[in-house]
Amino acid sequence: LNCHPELVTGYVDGALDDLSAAQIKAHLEDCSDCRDQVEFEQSLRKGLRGLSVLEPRGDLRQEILKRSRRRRRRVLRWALPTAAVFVAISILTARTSAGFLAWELVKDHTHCFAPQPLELHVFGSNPESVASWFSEQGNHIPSPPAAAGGLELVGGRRCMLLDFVIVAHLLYEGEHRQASVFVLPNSRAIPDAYATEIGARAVRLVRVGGHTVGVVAETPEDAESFRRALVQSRAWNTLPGPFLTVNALAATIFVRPSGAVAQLGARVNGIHEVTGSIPVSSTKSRQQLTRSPG
Amino acid sequence: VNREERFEAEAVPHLRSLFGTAYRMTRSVHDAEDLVQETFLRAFRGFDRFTPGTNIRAWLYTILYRVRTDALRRAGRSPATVELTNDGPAVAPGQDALGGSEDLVRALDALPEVFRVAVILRDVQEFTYEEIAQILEVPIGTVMSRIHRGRALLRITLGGPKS
Repeated sequence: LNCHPELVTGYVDGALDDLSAAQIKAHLEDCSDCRDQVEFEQSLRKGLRGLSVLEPRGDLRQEILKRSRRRRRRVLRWALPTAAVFVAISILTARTSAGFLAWELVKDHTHCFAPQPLELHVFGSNPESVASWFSEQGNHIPSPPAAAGGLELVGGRRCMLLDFVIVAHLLYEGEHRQASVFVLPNSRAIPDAYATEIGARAVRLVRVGGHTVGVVAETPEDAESFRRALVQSRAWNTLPGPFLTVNALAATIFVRPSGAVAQLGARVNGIHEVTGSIPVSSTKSRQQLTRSPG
Repeated sequence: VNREERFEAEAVPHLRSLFGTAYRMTRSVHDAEDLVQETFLRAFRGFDRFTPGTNIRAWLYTILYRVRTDALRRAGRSPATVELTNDGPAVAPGQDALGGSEDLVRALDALPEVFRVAVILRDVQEFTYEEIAQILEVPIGTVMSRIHRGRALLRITLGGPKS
């Protein structure tokens, strides 16, 4: 057997398996070099073990404990209040500024539709079925318009806004166009009527029967169609107040050009909740979904 | 018992042993203090991930070694490439705070850190090969090889025959 100095080290440390240990042991009988190595390493271990250990200064322990506590307190003292202030500002801004709310709704729309459309939670063209599905989820909304400006209801999803409020988001679809409706809690500070344009989208915020309704569309005409439909809707104007002050309503309507139809097609494949009471989309919608946008 | 109390009771008692090793690694009291402080801070932050009842000593040494490796990497070095400069150890002979066994201390300080750490973990701290493999995050064969080379270099430095 040849010399295996590394294995001899392992042998000294008792780190070898039984077979290797037996082989090294047998080898040591015949090899004085390796016996010397064993002897040296054993005495070295003894020497190293006997070295005195440098003591840390007395207050190092206290310093370490103090620093750990300080680090922790610093997080509690600053991080949490900072986060709280940020959230408070977000809520105040979102609830008191129509411009911010409009911007947020447009942003949410963009987020929901592009570049990868989010899934619809409910799919159907019957306004009452869609409204009752939302009510079951805790978003009490009146029956939305079945259609406006040539756009038809196709379904909806629940979206979370910046202030962590979950709102109902209704979608409409037309000839190469698409629309959605968001339902928000009551926003007292929003003016009775508000109109703006952000990017390529027209936004309308309207109070309907004590609720705030936001409309976002690709053209002012489409936005107006939905605003009118909501204002004139009997369901939206006759709903009892107390019910809605708890969970009031705002609607955002979007209209997008042809690309949106293709995107909705992708959504249909991704549906993960369709209640039995809600009919699948109208034939017209279905045709639109399969048609390649022009 | 809250987290702080548990940490104080389970981790902090290893301070003395960690500091001794940190001093042997860095060869400087100041660097050893920094190293140990950072080690305990990281340990405290990660204490929730430590499973009670398992090997806290090996866990602490794993952090110590990682902190040391990070510091060396930031300085553009790694334990594997740290060689002794011609100036010798940071602590001059005779000034070593340990005193006694001066030849052995000098020889140990003169080892490249990668071997010195392996030898210290085995021969001073009495960790098993498995524990050292965990601490250094290398295979057991590498542990054996590093300990062997460290001891062989010490043997040469101390004037023994070449192994």
